[in-house]
Amino acid sequence: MNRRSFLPKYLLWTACLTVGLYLAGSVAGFSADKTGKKIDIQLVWGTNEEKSPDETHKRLSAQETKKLRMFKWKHYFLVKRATVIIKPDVPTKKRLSEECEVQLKDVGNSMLEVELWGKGKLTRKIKEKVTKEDSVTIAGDAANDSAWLILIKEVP
Amino acid sequence: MLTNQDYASQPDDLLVKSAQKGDMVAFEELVARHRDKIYARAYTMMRNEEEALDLSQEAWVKAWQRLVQFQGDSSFATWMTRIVINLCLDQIRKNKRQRTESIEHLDEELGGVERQMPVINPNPTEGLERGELRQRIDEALDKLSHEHRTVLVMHEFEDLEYKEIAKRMKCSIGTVMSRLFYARRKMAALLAGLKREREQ
Amino acid sequence: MNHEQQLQLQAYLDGELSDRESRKVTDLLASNEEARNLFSELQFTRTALVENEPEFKLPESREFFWSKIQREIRQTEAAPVPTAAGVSVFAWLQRYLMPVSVVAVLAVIGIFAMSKSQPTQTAYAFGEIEALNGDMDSITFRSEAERMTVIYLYDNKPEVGAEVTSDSSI
Repeated sequence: MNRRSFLPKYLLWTACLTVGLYLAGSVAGFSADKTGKKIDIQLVWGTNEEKSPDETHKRLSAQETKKLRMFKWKHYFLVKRATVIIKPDVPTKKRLSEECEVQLKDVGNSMLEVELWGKGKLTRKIKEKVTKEDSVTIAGDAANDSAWLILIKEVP
Repeated sequence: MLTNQDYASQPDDLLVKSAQKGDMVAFEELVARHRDKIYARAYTMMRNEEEALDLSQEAWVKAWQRLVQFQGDSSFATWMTRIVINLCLDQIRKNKRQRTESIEHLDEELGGVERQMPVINPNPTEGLERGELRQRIDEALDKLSHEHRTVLVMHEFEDLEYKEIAKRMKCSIGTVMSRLFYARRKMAALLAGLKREREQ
Repeated sequence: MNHEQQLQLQAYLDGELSDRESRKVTDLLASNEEARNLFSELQFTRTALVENEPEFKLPESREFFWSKIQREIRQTEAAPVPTAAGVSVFAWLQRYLMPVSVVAVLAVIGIFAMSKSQPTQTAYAFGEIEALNGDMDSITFRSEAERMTVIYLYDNKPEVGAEVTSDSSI
């Protein structure tokens, strides 16, 4: 095969491939939620104390508290709430406190990748199903027999 | 309200339940009840009174902090013993990093010595009073390395299987078997030697 | 008798062999006097130890020993309550994380029991967790009632009562 006959074929194949990839990408992008998913993130403090030391912490409603009945604490206070819009495969970071941030990424198939960042360092990467029905909560014990909870769910 | 006498008459499981709810008096009764056993386990492993005291104290503090985890799958005493053993193992590792291995110790670790030791016969523990036998065992345990003593403690006193010992000591089952074999053979030789010394 | 046979003898004594392996050892014991003598030595050593564990008494009074424990407990429990700015999650993660609470464990058991009672329900497939901090472990459980997956993180470093810490082999 001489060089002159190879070049047009090569260019043709490249062009076809590019168009093909573009179309495939467009179809995939169209099928995905172009407007992104709306994710609700709540940082909650679980405690047996009647009051939070911070007056700005709002007590969770009875209905919200009921959803956390699997935990042992009597009272839950909302420390921070944020709503983020996430687009497929685009990581979105949200600061929840001075030292803690979460990064969310829609990785497809209703799966959400959650990265837990503390003091600028990545400490946990979790991949879980999060839909309008299925939520994920990341939690851990805190001082004085209390706990922190990060509630993540998709909202309409 | 319960009196001290009431606490003293309660079984471990009820005391544990009270302590899990934050009752420190109940926990104190548990400490009083099992403190000698926990200290003894630490001392048997560490062979140092000060370290054994510190580690047994630490074990009780950890136990209080983690009492909610105790589900009653084993007895409280067993659970406590496991805590102190784990703390001792950690301490032994720390100590080991600080000391230089002797050639003799390395030889023991590599194996081979125990194969050359003559079989002890007859049983040197026969006819001994319980108190004297305990004393001899204690003296012999003192002469073993931490690794060999630990494997003996876990197998003979704690009744743990090879697999469980290997997991706790973070070594292979083969290493556990070799260490146990060496430790037992060395114990037999030491007990026989002690017997000879007493007879002379 | 080679070293492997010696270790097999010991494993037989400790009840760690399969039936087939045990038969090999009994054959060896029947035919080999050296094996019998060694077995006897291992046996009396084990019996002597099992039945005569040395006893030691704590060299401190009940009151004094307890006062030290109590002081230590109070010191460790005197940790500050999170402040306003304060619900610094990472600080909690770093400093105060305790192992999984009994409630979490009970929840797991409860959920397990519930799942058993609903055999027709499709099992929920948990996602993935990548630990990037070696000092922390996690337990995952799911509440089907709330359709919520919970990932509970806890400090594994001062692990006691269950496993030894992740240190090098001794």
